[in-house]
Amino acid sequence: MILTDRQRDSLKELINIAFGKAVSSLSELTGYRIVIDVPKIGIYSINEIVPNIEGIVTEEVATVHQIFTGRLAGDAFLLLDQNGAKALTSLLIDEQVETIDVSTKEVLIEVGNIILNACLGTFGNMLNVHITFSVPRLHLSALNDMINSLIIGKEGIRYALLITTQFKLKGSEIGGYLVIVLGVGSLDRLLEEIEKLG
Amino acid sequence: MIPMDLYEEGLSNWVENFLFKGVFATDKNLKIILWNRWLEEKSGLFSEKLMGKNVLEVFPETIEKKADRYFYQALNGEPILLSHRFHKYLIKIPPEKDFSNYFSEMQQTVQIAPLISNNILLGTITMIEDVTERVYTEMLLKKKAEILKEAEEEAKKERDLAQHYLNIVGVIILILDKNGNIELINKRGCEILGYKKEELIGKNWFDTFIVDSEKEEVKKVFKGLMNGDLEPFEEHENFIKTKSRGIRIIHWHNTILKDSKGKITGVLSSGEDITEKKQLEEILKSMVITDELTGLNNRRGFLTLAGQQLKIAQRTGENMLLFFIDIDNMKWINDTLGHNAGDIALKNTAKILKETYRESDIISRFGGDEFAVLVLDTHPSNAQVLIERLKENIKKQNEKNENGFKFSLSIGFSIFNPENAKSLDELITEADAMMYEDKKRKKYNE
Repeated sequence: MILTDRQRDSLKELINIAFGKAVSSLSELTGYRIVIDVPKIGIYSINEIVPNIEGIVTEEVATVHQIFTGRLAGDAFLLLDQNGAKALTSLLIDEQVETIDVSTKEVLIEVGNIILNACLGTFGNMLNVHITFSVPRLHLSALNDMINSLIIGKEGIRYALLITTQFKLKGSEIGGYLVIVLGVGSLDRLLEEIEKLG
Repeated sequence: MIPMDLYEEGLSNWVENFLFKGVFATDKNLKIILWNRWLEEKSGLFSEKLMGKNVLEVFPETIEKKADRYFYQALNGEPILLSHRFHKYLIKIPPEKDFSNYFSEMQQTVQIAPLISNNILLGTITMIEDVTERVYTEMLLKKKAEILKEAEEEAKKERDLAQHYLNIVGVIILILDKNGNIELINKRGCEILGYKKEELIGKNWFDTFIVDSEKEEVKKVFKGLMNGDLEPFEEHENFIKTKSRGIRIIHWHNTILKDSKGKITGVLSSGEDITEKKQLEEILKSMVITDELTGLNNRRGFLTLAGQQLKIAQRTGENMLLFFIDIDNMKWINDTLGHNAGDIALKNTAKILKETYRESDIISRFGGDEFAVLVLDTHPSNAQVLIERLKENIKKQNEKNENGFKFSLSIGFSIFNPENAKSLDELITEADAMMYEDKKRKKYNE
């Protein structure tokens, strides 16, 4: 399955706005300026998803994971390396975080939730599609295991749209990735909606 | 088939009555439509009174805390998680008794989500989790961790300081275990022995460093100390073999180490390398030219000074006399009257010689009970005069009768004539021979 250049451009623009909204909410929370890369968009078979995400994050990660359903369904992730996660929490609660305990996890979830809500909400609003999403969960495991379990859980997924972008809080060691995985059914509908916009 | 709404009723019944978490729901206008039993019990507010009332009006604090926006967000389709860390609580509820000393409200983590059925937004649903106990535990853990960290830092500081002292101190610090193996050694010790610390730890001290001739003896003593058979000696000196500095003489201070039950575990020693000090003592000894007992020149002093005078006399053409004098019966004095009397005899002789000769003459205790005097710038005929004067002084001494024994000297002399110069050795030999004749004659006459 291949995207036309026009589709790709529209999608990129849409994603840019959504991720931009997410990042500005993080900027508001932390008071830091945030640098964000141009998102990378690609369609991959399920076997290719893990290597593609693994390629961008190699260390132990703290992942805030939010499932969304509705006309568009999929998974959104905020990936932070674990030191970055501790640094971010330390910054927010104004206290040195040594270990990720339950309270720290909750803080990360809340932050992840705000960011991902901003992203998905914008997504839905722009496309005029109603999206329902869960309260996020936090995974502190190897990325590989999590993505695998995610794919197994969704029989429908054969292909997926993978959108990734990297961000960094200027003047800090905190950085991470925003990732959205869309099942192929949703992808069709997404393209339909984008066409309508055009 | 059981109709679906029966299941739904069962489910909401369970949430209402049995769930161990607080749940309440509102319609789109934020009017309360469900307030479960857990909330009733914890808050003391009952469902009947709350039904149909706007949640923000019932709990105006939510507006003060700007928490109202979360309900609107939920109505907009967004699920919200409010972590305890940022929000402490959403609805003011007193904490469990156990924690009322630490918290004035129940600590909560809250989820607010859109209530949706068949894709239709009905309102909001909120779940409240009591996390007070968890927060309390985390607080305790954090405090404990802080205390532990402080204690660790304190201990590390002390360790560092002790290590620092060990490193800068100028003596060897050594701990041997019961078997004489090295347990600890400081930097200075490593320097003196010529090994790295890693090479030394665990090595047997006696096998490695004690000189072979002393090894067995020292090992035996150490074993005795470790068994408690021998009383520990606080200080001792011994020779040790080092890698790069040869044999060194070390002066040790020792402390026996015991465990908490009083059992001997080893020895802690500090050792000062006194090799150079000892060598210096030897050098100083060789530089001394005075006899300690009599205050006269010693043999070395006499030979040095007399040798110089001989050279001068040869140049200036002076005559000199060399006297060789021996105390009679010195062995008898020592053996019968004791060494103290012997010392007195030596001191008296020195006194008599000083009275007899001029200050510029070189008077010496040549060794044992022998004395040598070099009389400068004199005529050979004076020899007899000087002998007479000496005998007179001996007589005077004996008249005082301080000693309890009769004191006599045998005397010999030789003449230095610059025109026919003899060496100092020849002069001494000649005078000694004459003195011996004198002694023999006296013995014969007795």
